[in-house]
Amino acid sequence: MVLLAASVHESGFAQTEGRVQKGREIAFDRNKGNCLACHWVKGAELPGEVGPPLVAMGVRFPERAALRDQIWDASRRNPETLMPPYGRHGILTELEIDLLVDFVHTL
Amino acid sequence: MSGDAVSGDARQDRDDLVAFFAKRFPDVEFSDHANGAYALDEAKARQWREIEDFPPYEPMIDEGERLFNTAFSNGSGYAACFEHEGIGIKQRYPRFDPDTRQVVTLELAVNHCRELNGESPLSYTGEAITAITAYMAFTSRGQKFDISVPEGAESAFNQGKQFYYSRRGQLNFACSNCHLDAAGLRLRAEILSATIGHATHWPAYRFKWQELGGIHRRFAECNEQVGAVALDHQSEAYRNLEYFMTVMNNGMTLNGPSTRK
Amino acid sequence: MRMAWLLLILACAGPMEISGSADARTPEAHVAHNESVQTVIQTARQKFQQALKLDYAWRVTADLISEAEKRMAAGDTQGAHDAATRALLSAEASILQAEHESRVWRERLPKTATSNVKK
Repeated sequence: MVLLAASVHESGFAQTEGRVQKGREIAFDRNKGNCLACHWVKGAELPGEVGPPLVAMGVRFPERAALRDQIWDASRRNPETLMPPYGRHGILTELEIDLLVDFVHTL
Repeated sequence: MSGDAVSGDARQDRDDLVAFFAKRFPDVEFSDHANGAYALDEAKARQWREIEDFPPYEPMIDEGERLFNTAFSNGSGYAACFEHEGIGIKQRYPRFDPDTRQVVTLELAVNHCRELNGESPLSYTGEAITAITAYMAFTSRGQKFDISVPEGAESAFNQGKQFYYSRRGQLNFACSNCHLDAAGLRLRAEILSATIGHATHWPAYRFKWQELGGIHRRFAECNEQVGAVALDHQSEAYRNLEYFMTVMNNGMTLNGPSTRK
Repeated sequence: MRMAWLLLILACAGPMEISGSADARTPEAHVAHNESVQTVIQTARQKFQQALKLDYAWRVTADLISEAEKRMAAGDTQGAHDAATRALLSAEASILQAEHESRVWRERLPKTATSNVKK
C-alpha cells in the first residue's frame, strides 16, 4: 500500500515535471511565447526589460486562474498593456497556454 | 522651420513628442535622436561611428550618382524635374501635393520624373531606386528637415498619425507601443529607439538586410514582425505614415544614408 | 407545397445531423463533413479579404487557410477543419482589432505637460 502510494506520487511528479518542461520550451521559443523578449526569467540569456521580471509568480498569482487570464488576455486588466493577448488572438493554443501557466507558476 | 507652413495641430504634435522625450531622456539632446537607438547606448554608438568611417553603402551612393546623371532617351534627366536640380532637397520630402491631394515621397517623385520623360517607372523594391534616393539623400546631408503641412494636407497627416498609434497584427502592437511607451528599454539585447529621429537617415544599410533599403521596407518588416500582412511599398497608407513621421522630425538634421543594426 | 417544405426541412437537417454525429467515417458523412470544412475555409477567405481591405489582415490567417487546403487535399478532414476554424477566428479577431483601434488610438498620444494642463 505504501509502495503503491509512492509510485503513484512519483508518476504524478514526473507528469508535472514534463508539463513544466514543455511550458518552459514554449516560453523560450521565439515563435511561441517569446517571453524573454520582454521579461527577465531565471536562466535566460539577454532577457528584455519591457515587462516585469517573472519572479515569485506563485506568490503574486496565488490563483492559477488569474495567471492564466493574464496570459490569455492581459488587456482585460489593463487596456494599454504591451503584452500580446496570447489566447484572445490565438497566438498560443489553449493547451499551450495551460503548459505555459504550469511553467510560469513555478518561477 | 518655416513655422506657418505647418498646421497648428501638426506642430503641436511634433512639440508634444519632443517634450515627451526631453522628459524621458533628459541627458539626450534633441538633435542626437537622429542617431536612433545609438543616441541611447554609448557602447553601441562607438562601434557604429567606426563603421560609419568606412560605410558599406558607399558604392551604392556612387551607383546612384551615375544613374542620376544618366540621360533619359529623350535627352532630359532627373535634374530637370527637381528644384536645385535635385541636389540637397531631400529634407523637404515627403511633401504634400495639393493638386493630386497625395503625399509625394522622393521615390514617387523619381518615378513621376521618369514617366514624364517617357521612361518606365522603377520597381519600388529594386536596387536602382534605392541607389538614386541614397545619392539624393547624401547630397542633402546636414540639412534640417522642413516638411510643411499645408491646408488640405491634414487628412493625409492624420491618417499617418492614426497608423502610428494603432495596434496591428496578431501580436497587437502599435508603432508607439515600442517607440514611445517602451522607448529606451531593452527588447532582448536591443534598445528601443525613440519616435523622433526615425525618418532622418534613409535609405539605410541594415546589417540584417546586408544592403541598403528604404523606409517602406522597414515599415513592412515591422508590420510583419507583429504578425500583420505588410502593405505595398509606396502604398497610400505607408506614404502617409512616412509623412507623419518626417513632420515629427522637423528641425532635425538629415543624416542619410546611414547604417543600422 | 407541403412536399416542398418537407424536402426543404430534410435538406437542411440532413447534413447538420451527419456532421454533428460522433462517427463521421461513413462515405456520406465524409462528404458532408468535407462540405462543412469547405464552407469554413470559404468564410475564412472572405473575412481575410475584408481584413485586407481594411489594411488590417494578419499573416497567420493566410498561413492557416493554406494549411487547411493542404490538409483537405491530403484527406485529413479533421486537421483541415481545425486549421480552417483557427483561420476564421483569426480573421474575425483582425477585423475586430481594426474596429476597436479606430476608436481608441488617440489614447496613445504622448501625455505631456502641455496636454495635461487643459482640464
